Amino acid sequence: MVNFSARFRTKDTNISIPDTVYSLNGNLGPKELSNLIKTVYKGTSPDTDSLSDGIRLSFIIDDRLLRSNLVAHFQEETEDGNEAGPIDEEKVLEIEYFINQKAPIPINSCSTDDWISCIDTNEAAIINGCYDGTVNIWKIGKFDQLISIPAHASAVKDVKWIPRQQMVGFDNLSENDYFFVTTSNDETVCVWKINLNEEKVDQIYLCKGHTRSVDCVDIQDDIFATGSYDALLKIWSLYDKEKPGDENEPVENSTKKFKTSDKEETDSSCKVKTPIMTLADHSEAISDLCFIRDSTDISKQGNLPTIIVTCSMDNTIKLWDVELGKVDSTLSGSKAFLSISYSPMKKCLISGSCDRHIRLWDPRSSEGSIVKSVFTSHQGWITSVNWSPTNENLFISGSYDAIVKQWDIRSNRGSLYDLIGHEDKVLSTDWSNPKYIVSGSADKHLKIYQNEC
Amino acid sequence: MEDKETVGESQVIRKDEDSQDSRESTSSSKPAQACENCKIFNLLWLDYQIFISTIILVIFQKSFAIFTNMDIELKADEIKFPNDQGRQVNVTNLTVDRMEVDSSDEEDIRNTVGNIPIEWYADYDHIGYDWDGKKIMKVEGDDGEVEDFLNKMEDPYYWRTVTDKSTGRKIILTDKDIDLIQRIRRGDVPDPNFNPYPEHIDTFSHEKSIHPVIEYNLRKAEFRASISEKRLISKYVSKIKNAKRLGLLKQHKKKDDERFSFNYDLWKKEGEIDHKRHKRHIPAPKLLPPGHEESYNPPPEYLFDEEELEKWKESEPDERKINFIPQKFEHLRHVPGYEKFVKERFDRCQDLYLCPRMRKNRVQVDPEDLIPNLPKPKDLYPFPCLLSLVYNGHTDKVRSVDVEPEGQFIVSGGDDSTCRIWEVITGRCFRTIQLDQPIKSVEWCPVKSKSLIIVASWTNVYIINPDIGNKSISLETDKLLQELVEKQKEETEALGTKTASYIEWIHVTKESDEDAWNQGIRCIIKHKFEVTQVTWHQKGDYFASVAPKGANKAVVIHQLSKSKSQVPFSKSKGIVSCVSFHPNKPLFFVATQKNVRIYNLAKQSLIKKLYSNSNSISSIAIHPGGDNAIIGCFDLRLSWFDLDLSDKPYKTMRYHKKGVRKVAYHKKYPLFASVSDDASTIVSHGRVYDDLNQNALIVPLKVLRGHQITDDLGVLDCCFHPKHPWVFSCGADGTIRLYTH
Repeated sequence: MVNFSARFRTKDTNISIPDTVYSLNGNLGPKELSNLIKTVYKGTSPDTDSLSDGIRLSFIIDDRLLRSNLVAHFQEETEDGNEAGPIDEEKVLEIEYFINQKAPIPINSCSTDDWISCIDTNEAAIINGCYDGTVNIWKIGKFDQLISIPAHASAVKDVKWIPRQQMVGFDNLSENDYFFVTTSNDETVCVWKINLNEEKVDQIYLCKGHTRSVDCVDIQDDIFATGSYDALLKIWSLYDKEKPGDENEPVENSTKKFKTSDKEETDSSCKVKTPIMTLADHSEAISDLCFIRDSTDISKQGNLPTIIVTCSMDNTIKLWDVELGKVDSTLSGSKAFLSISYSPMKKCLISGSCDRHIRLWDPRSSEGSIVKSVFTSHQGWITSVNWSPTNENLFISGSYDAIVKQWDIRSNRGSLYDLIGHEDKVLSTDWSNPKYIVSGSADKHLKIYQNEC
Repeated sequence: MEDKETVGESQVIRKDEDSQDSRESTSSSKPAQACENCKIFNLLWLDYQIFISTIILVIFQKSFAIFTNMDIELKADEIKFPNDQGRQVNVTNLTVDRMEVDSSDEEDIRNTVGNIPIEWYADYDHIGYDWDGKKIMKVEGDDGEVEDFLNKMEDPYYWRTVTDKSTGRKIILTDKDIDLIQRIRRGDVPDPNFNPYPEHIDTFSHEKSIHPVIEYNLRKAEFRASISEKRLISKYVSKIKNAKRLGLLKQHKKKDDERFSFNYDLWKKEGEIDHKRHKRHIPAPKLLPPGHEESYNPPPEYLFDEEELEKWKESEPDERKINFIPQKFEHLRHVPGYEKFVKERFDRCQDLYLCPRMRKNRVQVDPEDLIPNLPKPKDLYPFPCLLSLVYNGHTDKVRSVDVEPEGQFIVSGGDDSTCRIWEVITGRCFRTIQLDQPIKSVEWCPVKSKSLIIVASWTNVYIINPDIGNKSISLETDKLLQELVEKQKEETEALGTKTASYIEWIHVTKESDEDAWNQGIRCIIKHKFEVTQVTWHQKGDYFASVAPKGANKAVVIHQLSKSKSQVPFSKSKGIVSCVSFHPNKPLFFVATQKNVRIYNLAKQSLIKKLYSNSNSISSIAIHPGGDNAIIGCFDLRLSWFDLDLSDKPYKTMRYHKKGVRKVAYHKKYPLFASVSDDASTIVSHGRVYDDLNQNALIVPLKVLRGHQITDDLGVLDCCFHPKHPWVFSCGADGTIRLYTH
C-alpha cells in the first residue's frame, strides 16, 4: 500500500490543528482521516468542544472532494483526466478539511391541488405555481398555506419573488409587503403584490407580448426578463419610470381581495405592460433564464453590463448583453436544455437538459472545453438546477426520477445527498433561501427540507 | 583305506577313512561280488516323487543312449562331497544300468527274473538270476533298523544314499545327480549344459553381406563367364559389324522416320484453341448408382403392389419415376438378361452427344462481403434511443398520436373516446376532449397559422380547435371558421333546400352547441361508414378521410375553406387502407391492401402504381423530400420505395416480428420509425441524397421497447417530434411514450 505524507489545513480557525506533516496510509478514507484530526485536535486543545464526535469532516485534495480512500481517489482522478496527484511519497499533500455539509432535514410536505410547476422562496414565504393556474403561498415557519390565488387561466410556468432591495421602486410599501412575478401558459406575465399579514393579493401589472407560454422569469434591479416557448426573450421594466404619476393609481385600483378576483376584472383594472425590449436569436423555446449578478452590491452592479443567460430547447445557452440587445456568446450543447443556474460566487453555470447529466459551464473561458465537469447520477431528465446562495460549491438538482440531489462541484462521482420523497417527476426545486431547499413535483406535493450550513 | 570295485567295464572308486565306511563297503562288496554281471539296480527312495524324478532324470540323461547302448555313462570327473570331517568321495566312471521299473522293452535284463514284484524274493537271500544263471545275492544289512539309525547318525552321505531294490545295493548319489534332481524339481531343463537363452544371431539382418547365406559352396562355373553367352555375343557383334560395313543399318533408320514421322513437336500447339477445349473439358454427368429397387432382391417396400403397377403401366414412359418394374428373384443367376440394355446405352450416348453441356460458374463469395458496408449506428447519432417520458391518462388503447408543428404539445386519441392534448416536456395532460365514439385517428394541422386538429371518431370527423399554444392563432382560426359558417348559411339560403349527400358538414357554433364549442369542437363531418384515417394536406386547407367500407366513396377529400367534400374516385380499386398527400406536389397516394396508386390531383390522373408484394398494407409515409416513401405491411414487411427509381421496393426490411402498424418519417432528421404489434418501435436511419445516382442509405438503428402487448396489439401509432430527434409512440396499453436521443 502506498503511503502519503500530508499536511492538514483548514480555513476554520476553530478546528485548526498544528501544522505537521503526517504519513498517511493509502487506504485511509474520510472517516479515518476525521478520526485522526479529532484525536489530534483533542490532544492540542482539550478544552474546546468544536469537534465533537458527531461532527464529520470533509477533505479536499487539489480542489477535489475525497470520497473514497486516498489511493482510489487518485485513481479516479487520473481516470477523470485531472492532473493526477502525487504517487511519489516525497511530495507533501496539502489536504484541506472542513466540517461536513449536514444532510438536509425534511421538515414538511405540503399538498396542492395540481402539479407544481415552479417554486420560489424568500426570507418570509414560499411561493409555488401550479398547473391549474393557481399560485400558492406558504409561510416559512409553520408551512401552512397562507393564500391560494387563481392567478392565471392556464398553468403557471414560473414564479419569482422580487428581491427586497429591488422593491424600493414601488410605493406604499409596508413591512409585510412582498412582490412576485408569475408567468403562465396563457402567454401573460403578471406582477403581484402581497401583504403576508393581511393575506391580501393585488395584481399590479399584466404583461402581454409573448405569443406562447412564458416559461421562465428572472428579476434584476428595475427590470425583469421573460423567456417563452415562442423563442423570444423579452425584457420588461419593473416600475413605470416614465409615468410616475400613473403608477399609483392602477396599483390602488387593483387592490382587491383575491377571492373575488376574476380574469376579466384584473385585465381591466391592472396596468397592462408591454416589453421594453424583445430579443430574438434562439430558434426554439427558451426554457430557463437567469441574470448574471457578478456583484451583489447594487452600486457596483450599475457599472457592469447586465447579462442574461438563457438556455433553450435548440441546444444552446446564450449570454445576452441587455444594453446592447445582442447575444454576447453562445454555448452549444447536444441536448435541449431545461434549466440553468448561475453562481455569482463561483462564476459558473450549471445546466440541466433532456438527459440525465448536469453540466458545469464556465462562460468566461473561450478556449478548450467549456463544459468543466459533468455530474451524472440521476436517472431522468434534469428539470431544475439551483446553486446554493451561500456556499459556492453546492447546488441542488431535481429530476424526472423523482429525486432531488445535493451536489458538491468538487466531486462529480456522486451526489452528496439524495432527497427522496417525491412519488412523481420533480418539476421544480428552489434554494433561494439558504435555509430551505424546496422541491415541487407532479405528485402535487411540495417538499421542504431544512438545510443547515 | 581305498577300495576299488569293478562293475562291468566301469569302476567305482571310493576313498574312505572311517572304519564304518569300510564296513559298509565290505557289506556292499558282498552282493557286488555275488552278482557281478547282474547290473540292475533296484532303486529305492523314500519319496516317491524323487523316485519318479530320478527315473526321468535317467531318461533325460541319455535318452538316446539308452536305446542304442544299454549303458548310461555318467562322466563325472570328480564328485566332491563336503562334510564336517573333510572327507572326500571321488566317484569316477559310475555306470548305471537300466532299471527294472521301466517298460519291458527297455528293461535292463541283467537280472533275468523279469518284471515281477521284488517282494516275491523277500524270503530268499537272492533276488534273481543273472544271464549266466547265477543268483544275484541280496545286499546285507539293509534290514537292520539300528544299523540304519546309526548310519543315519554317522554317515554323512546317508541323506544321499539310495537303495537299488532290484539289487539291494546302496548308491550314493553324486553332486551331479542331486543337481539334476533339483533341476527337475524346480522345473528347469535337466541338462546343466543347456542354455535356454542363447545369444541370438541375426542371420538375415539388414546388413549387406558379401557372401550368400547358403549352405553349399558355389560352383566354380558360377564364377566364370558363360561360354555359350560369349558365343552369342560375338555372333551379334559380328552381325552388327557386317551390317555397318554393308551400310544396312543406316538405310533401315531412314525407313523408320518415313513410316512414323514423329519428327515434329508434339506439344507445339499447346495453349492454342484446340487445347483450350481440353482445358474446359466438361465431364459427362454421371448416372446415378443403382438403388435398392434395382436389386435382384429388393426390400418389399420397393416392390410394386397392384395399384402401383397399374399406375406405372398407365403412365407415359417419360413420366415414370423408374423405367422398369422392380422384381424379386430367388437367386442372382435367375435374373434374365435386360432387353432394354442396348437401347438405354444408345440413348445415353445420344444424350451425351446431342445435349450441349455448359459449365456452371460457381461464384466464390465471402458472405461477409455481401453485407453492405453500413455505417455504425453510433456514427449516425442523434436518434431516439432512450425512453424518457410516459404520458399516462388514457384508459384504453391509444390509437393515434400526433405532434403540434411547434412541438410543444401532442394530441392523442384512443378507444376511450377521448382526445387528449399533452405538454411534451412535462407529460402534463392539458386538455381532454370527450367524444362519443372511439377515436381511430387524430392529426394536427401542419400549418402553424391554424390551430386545428382533425379527429376521426367512428363515422364522424371532428374539426377541433384545441385552443392551446398561441392564443391569437387560435382566435384567428375561430374567426375563420365563423366566416365559413356564415358562408355556408348564405349558400344554403341561395340553394334553398339542402341536398342529401354522402358527406354532411355540421358547423358547431357557440349558440348551437355550447358544450361542444367549449370543448373545442368546431365542425363535424358525418360519413356513412367508419372512418379509420384522416390526414392533412401540407397547406392545411385540404384533408382526406378514409372509410375502407365505403367502396368507391372510401376516400373523401375535404376542403376546409369551402366546407365541402368531394369523392375523387368513381371506382373502387380495392379496400383502401390509408392515404397520404405528397408534401410538395399535388400528388395523392392511395394505398389499397396490395399496392399504392399515386394520383395527380391537378390533372386528375393516375401517374404511378407501387407494388409492395404484400397483401396487407397498413400504412404509408412520404419522405419530406417527396421522392421516397415507406410502406408498412401487416405481413411484417417494411418497404422503401424510391419513386423515381422503380415501382418495386428499393429495399424491404423484415425486422419486425409482428405486423407493422405505422411508419413515419422525421421532418428534419434522416430518420424513420416503424411500430409493430410486437410492442416495439424500430428507428432507422434513412438518408436521401440529392445526387440522383446515389441510392438512399438505410440503417436500422434502434429497437425501442416499453409498451406492453394488450389484446395482441402492441404499438399502434408513432410520430416524430418536428424539431428534435424524438419519437412518440402510443400503444394498446393506454400509454404514450417519448423516446429521446
